[in-house]
Amino acid sequence: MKKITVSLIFALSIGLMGCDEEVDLTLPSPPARLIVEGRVEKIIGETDYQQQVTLSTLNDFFDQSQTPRVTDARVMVSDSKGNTFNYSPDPEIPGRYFNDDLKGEVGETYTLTIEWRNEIYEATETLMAVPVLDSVYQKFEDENAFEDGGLKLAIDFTDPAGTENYYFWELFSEGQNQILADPGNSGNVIARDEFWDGQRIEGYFPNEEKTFTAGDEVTVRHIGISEETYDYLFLLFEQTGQTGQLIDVPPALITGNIRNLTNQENIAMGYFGASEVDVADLLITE
Amino acid sequence: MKNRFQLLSIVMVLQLTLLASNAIAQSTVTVSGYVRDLGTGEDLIGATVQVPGTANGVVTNVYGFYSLTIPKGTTKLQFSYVGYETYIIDRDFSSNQTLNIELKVTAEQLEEIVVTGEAENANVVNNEMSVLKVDPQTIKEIPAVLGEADVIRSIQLLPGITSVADGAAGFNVRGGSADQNLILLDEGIIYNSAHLLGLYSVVNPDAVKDIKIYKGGIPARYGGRLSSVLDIRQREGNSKEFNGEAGIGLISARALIEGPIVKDKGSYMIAGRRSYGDAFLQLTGNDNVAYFYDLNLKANYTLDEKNRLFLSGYFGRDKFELGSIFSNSWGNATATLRWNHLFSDKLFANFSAIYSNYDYSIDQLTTGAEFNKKSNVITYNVKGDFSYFIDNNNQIEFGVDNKWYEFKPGEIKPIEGSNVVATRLDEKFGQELGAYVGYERKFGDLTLNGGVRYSMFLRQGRQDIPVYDNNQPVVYNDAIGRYEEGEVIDVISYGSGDKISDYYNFEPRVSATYVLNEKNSIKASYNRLYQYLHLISNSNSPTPLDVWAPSGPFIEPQKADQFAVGYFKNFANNTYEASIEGYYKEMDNLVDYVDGADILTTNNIETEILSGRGRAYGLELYVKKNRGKLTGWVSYTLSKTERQVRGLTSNDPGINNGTYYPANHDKRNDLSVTAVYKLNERWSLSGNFIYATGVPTTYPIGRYEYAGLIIPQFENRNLERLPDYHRFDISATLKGKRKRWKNGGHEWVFGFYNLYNRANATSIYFVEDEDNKGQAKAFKSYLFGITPSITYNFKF
Repeated sequence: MKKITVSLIFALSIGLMGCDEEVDLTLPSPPARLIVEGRVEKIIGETDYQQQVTLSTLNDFFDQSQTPRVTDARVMVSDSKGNTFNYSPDPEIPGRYFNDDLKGEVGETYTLTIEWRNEIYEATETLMAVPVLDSVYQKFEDENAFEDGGLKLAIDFTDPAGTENYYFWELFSEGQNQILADPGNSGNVIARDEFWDGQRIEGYFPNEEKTFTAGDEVTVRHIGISEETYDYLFLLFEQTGQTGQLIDVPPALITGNIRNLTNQENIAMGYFGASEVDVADLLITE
Repeated sequence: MKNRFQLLSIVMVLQLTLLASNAIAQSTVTVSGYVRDLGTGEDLIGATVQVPGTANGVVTNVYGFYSLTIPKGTTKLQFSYVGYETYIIDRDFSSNQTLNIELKVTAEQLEEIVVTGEAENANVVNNEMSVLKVDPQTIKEIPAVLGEADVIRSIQLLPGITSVADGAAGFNVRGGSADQNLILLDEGIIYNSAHLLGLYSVVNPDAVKDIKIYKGGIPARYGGRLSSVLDIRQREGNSKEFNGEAGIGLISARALIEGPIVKDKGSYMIAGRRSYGDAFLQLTGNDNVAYFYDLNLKANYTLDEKNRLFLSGYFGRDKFELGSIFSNSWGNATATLRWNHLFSDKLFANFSAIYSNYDYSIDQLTTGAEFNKKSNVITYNVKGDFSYFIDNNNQIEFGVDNKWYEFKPGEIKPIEGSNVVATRLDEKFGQELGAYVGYERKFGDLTLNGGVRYSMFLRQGRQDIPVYDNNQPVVYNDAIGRYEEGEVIDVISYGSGDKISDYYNFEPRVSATYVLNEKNSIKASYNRLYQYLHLISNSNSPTPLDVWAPSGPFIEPQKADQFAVGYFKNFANNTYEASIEGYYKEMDNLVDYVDGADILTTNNIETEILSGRGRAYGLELYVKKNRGKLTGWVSYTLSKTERQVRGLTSNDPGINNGTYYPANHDKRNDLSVTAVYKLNERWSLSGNFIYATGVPTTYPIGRYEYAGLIIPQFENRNLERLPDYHRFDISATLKGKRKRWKNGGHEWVFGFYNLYNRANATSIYFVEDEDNKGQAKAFKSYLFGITPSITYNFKF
């Protein structure tokens, strides 16, 4: 909120004078850091789905190729009842590990364990519920100072009263995550019900930046997250939405919930989440 | 400026008052009164009154008052002030008397004027160091962005005063943060000095007559901020005749009127300024609004010989509206009522009642979630300041000052029928008491000033204060290496006026001047200051939305100790004044946000901050040419400013593993050259050149992929630097040939800011290309390339 407001004032007052130009710099080489991206999911109304975790490492900042994948790790998830689920490396997609048996349960606590290069990493998260999507539809939005106008995906849902709820949305089209690095993400693709607890939310755009054209097939993933996950994603989106203005939050190290049990100094980045998810598909029409 | 070429003419108002008391067989007499401007009746602050050829002298206080004790039978007294013709009165002073003097502005001449010079070495002989004065007229003559003369930008051309970047709000003094400057406009506290987020400042240079900044050696009468006092005094208004002036520039239009209420007894001044950038927006068919305005008011009335009343006000506001999405406004308002009272010809007192309110408001108008958020900081302040002129070698200042603060950090209300849930952040209340005494004594060539300020801060209810587990509002989660909110285990409810926490501190202030001869002196000072209010900001430069938080159970008062020494020298008959000063400053309990703090909507700010220390040291060189065709100054600062934020325990890293790191505004070298050259009667040229080391910044050490985005990996803070900053600005002023109106003057000011179009980085940032997913880039952003300006000013 602050950021959007201030950016806007800034743009209004001096937008005409401010300029940006690309620069080339020599940056230091990265240390070896493990990056973990994964979430135990409970998908509403489905029984046949896979859980996955993706492992990678840091790249040089200006190296535009895909970051190196980690294919030689052991990955498993256990629950509080003593069940352990081993994840198998995906032969097709390097760095992806999956499991077909684990189905998430709301309120259950899951622990991820990774063994890589003789070090053990661990993360724990409790699976958060999400209210169902009441409807998913397309809606035309006029152009404004923040976004392009066009056809966007909109959702309706009802926030449960009396509890703190945190949301995260992902849009996929043609197998690609449609998120863009935008300053508005921290106030758009994640949300909390602080100011609208128990209200019915109508016509929310889970990604205001993304416009679609007739014929696009879009999948929306409506994800319940913990406060910690929300805080983590907030920082991540602030950092990826830097505008170069003086009101930017200065960049900083963003740590998630992955801890290195063997060597605390060798930190790992990323986050292991656990969420109930409602998934819906929409075909965009004229 | 009227009667410019007339010969010297002094009008003297002489009032003899026989004092009933102690006229018996005394060998000394006391002469007291006011020194004013002949043309306008404005009080002259810091004018020198002395017995010619002796060290027996005093300077006028901020109300233009002096009290001088001289041997009975002395026959000559000299009154002088820079820019005014020196006046010597010749008479036999055989009894105590009131002597009000009006001085005439020096006629503008192209040839160098030979002035008696005795008083122009005030910078050498006065027991004041680390203090700079800026002439509002100079501010209007030097080049400015889009021609909008600006006080806060101008003081950044002086040694020891910097800012983070072009367009940054606030300023930094000797390594201090932007919230550590006490900005006083006729004693009213200005909480946010920025218009348009820092492009300009809230002080309209037309309305002010005296701008003084204390970087160190801060007298005991000031308290509440660690790093500086910017004491701005508004013009009283012309008490002789009605006058007006106005100006039109690219950014704003402004006007000022002034005149007597009762001739020579009372006057008023009203000045207004409004920007009209939004008019351009509307011309382009845009329904957005962005403007600022400010209004300065002042009136004063002399009741009788011993009593004088002043009323001043300032109202400023910035407003932004973006069609149907949101609107936002913020502003300062201050009102000051002052009463000057002379208890005797040796005891001068001023009593003030001051109200100050800073507020901002946001209307978020997005459909479905319309809400309004409002925030205020309100200060009520009463104080009494006394100056007792015992004799010329002994002077005592003392006073008390009480402030009541109300912090209303925010109320969120649904508007336009939205279903946003109304929320209110806790209001906070505090009371700050300051009592001080300062004693100045001259021992021949040595002047010593010892003072102490006793400050007390009381945090009061009504408020609910959480109790944290282990009394830790912030805890370190070492499992994942992150700072988190502490666990609230209880809440204590305090009723209205109940004491929540309290702090009591002594603040010693010491300064000394040793005059080697009338052109050379050595000075030293030490001061300790406490600050009970904290501006919690998690961006590179303060924004209007940042939260002011009072000290309390979880936030300790900030503290600073500063030592400074200096050598002051004037040469060429006081045409040049020069100084070199060194300082060392240590600051404690500075608040710093934890990474990723949410400071806008949190109710418990203590859960988002860590406290740290700072140290700063530097050397400042300043050479100023006061007279002649060419005037101006060179200022150079070599300095280092660092911060240290240790962990809560030995297990957690703090910031940069608890080591000292460069502060955001650290600049090793900072050079400014400012010159004004009077070409002939009509044309004058001025220029600025600035060179400064780039400020610290943080570069990524790599990148990774997460949630479909490229994430730059940053580790330690502020280890890199932006490219060096430099620019050259010029402007030319053309005075009109003939008088258009009664008071004649009109002028055009043309200028180019950043003449050689240097793209000075305000930041370098690292992002994924929005149009080209998967490609990460670095961008430099900068504000002003070459920027032309034109302004027209006239008097009527």
